[in-house]
Amino acid sequence: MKDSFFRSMTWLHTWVGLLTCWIIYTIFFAGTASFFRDEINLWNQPAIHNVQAQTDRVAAQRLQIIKGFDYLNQHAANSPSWRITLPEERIPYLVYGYAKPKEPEQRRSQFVNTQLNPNTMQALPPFVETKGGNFFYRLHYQLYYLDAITGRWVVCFASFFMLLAIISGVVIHKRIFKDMFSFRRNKGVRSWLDAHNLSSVLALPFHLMITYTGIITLIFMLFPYPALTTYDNGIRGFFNDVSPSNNVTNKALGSAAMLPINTILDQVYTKWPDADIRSVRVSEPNMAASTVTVLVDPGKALRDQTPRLLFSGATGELVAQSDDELTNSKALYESLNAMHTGRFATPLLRWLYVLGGIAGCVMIATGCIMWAKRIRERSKGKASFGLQLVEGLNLATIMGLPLATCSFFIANRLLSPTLSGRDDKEVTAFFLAWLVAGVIALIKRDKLQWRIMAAINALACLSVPLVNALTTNGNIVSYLMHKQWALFIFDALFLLFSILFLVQTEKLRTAENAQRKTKSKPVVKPVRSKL
Amino acid sequence: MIYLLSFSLCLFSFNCFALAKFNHFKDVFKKRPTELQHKQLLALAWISILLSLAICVETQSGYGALLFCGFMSLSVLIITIFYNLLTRLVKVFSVLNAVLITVSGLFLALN
Amino acid sequence: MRAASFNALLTKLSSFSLLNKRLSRYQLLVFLRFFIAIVGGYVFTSTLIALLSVVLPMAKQDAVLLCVSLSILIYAVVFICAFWVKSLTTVWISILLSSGVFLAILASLKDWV
Repeated sequence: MKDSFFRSMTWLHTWVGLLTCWIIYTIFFAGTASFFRDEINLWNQPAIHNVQAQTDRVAAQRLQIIKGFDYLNQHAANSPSWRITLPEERIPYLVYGYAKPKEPEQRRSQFVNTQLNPNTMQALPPFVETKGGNFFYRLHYQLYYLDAITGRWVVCFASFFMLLAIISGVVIHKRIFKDMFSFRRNKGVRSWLDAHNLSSVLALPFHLMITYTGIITLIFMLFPYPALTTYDNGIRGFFNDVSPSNNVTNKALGSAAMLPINTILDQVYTKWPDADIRSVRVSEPNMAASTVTVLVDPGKALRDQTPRLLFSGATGELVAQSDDELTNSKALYESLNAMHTGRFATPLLRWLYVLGGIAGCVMIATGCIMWAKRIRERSKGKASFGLQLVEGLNLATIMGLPLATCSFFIANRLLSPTLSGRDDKEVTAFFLAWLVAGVIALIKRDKLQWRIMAAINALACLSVPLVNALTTNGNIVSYLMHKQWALFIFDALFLLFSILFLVQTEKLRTAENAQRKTKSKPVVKPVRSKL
Repeated sequence: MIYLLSFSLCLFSFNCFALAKFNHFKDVFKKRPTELQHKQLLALAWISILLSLAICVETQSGYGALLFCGFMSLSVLIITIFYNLLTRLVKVFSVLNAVLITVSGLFLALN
Repeated sequence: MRAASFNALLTKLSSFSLLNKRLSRYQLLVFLRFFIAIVGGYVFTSTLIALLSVVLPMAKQDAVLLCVSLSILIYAVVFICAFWVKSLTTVWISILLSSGVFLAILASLKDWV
């Protein structure tokens, strides 16, 4: 390719960056938001805003499960499947759910869920239809509107190119230790390079980890071959082997009353005295083949598959369980997956993950902007189609995604709670706002357009807590007073973003004025002697 | 509290790594570091960062390692901000950092 | 106004075709390098881990899980090597040959042929 390995790595870094930077920016943006999936779900659902955290959440679980069984026996004794989802640290409500019998065309049966306040055991007000944090999650690994397989392949390859960009970036950054703390301000492209290097290096372990493990989460789609060659019935055979399943009583016929759930819970607590139960699932309740699965929170252990115990519902015997001790290979695979989703992360680690995510977004954004500036410098005034495309995509993506996010949340508050399909309409609002940013970028891509977008974003971010205050019973002050921290931090973050966008507007204004002054100065050409 | 000790050690370590560089040392102390000072700062930096890692991993192996990487990122960010934007406050900051280490260390030792 | 922009488009196209003759060989080399890195790397990794998961002396699930966990590392290394080795021919031949060997061993082990 080029003369030396170093030059070829520089070349590779630019090319893999070029091909994927805007997709990767979207993935990082949506991924960072997804770390707060539960909090976004909470904010989007006013019905659960005032559910107080339980004083002794784990101790209350046994009673909640028993009551759940009573409730489900009463309302859905013949349902094919029950699911009791217990409150967690970040999900404050209790759910008793049962499946309706599957229609012929459906892939999965529809669940009827009753949400309860775990403190009062009363049903909560009806939930509004919203995707909440799950929207960002799906945007992150599937790019939302694309079909499942295509979207994931695109994300896979974009992430692989990202990994290559990071590796090649480390190789070409010769002064990585010398320049670790340097940041030269107000030096044009140099400052952008410093920002790019800084955001890359400061979270380098995170970037490497999150990119590698991200691809691992989709690895069976990318490389099904090991499972295909090792197992006779391929992937299905492999998954059956690794997940504990009831092969003892699941073939029994006829109906049979289930044992009281207490007997099963006794066994769970004997095995794991401090068990923090996440959910209890029953397949074929009140049948001889019924299976009760108890899923337990793994705490800070790096486990991907939730540890579980499977019991026969009719006889109460333990028929299967997840491994107590993982083999090294299993531990490797599970910890890689667990590190990516970070479900175990307590607030401290979670915020550090978010710091890494923000550093990643800054890394990609500064890379895109610096590259556009370099091309512009080399083009000397004439803007080729390529340059226009790069600058346009930069503006539309970097400034458009925040606007789209704000629109999503504003739509959540403004759309009527009973409107059908409102969850899809919220998502439409997101993409429409992004389209608007795209149209602005299509028209022109100067500092003026960036300033306009920054001002619009500042307004949009301010509107989110404002609209929240006007349409719900709470507002940022009441959240602070009642110690509703998740909601308070959510609103406060949007206020902070609003201020940051205002600062950006100001900086762009001074930069624009400076640019105008240099352009208006008459350029004195030196007279060349013809001797 | 143990995480506070680990984090402040990590922060201190990167502070020493920064001071070990000639340009940053000159920004703070207005003179070049001697060879001995340079070596001492590097040694101090390595000791504190390894101590920080050990404390994190000791409490919970995998989780602790991730936390340590997070601490490193946050430390580099804070140190970069101080050395490029708040150079005058570096001395005060370093003293506060050392105080934090001693306080959290004592707190842990006494409990 | 329209005539001017049309002329500009024509000039752009003609300049491209002039450069085309000079750049086409370079562009072809670039394309071939990327192709072998992406597609060849994928094929190499797939055949290698398919073979390893059958051959490794551990439980089936463990072999599969270990192989998929390392797959991306292998793919990344092959990709970087495809750009490290100077001769494009060497890259093509070594990737195709090694993938073929892995596949052949796997086929004989699994009695496919």
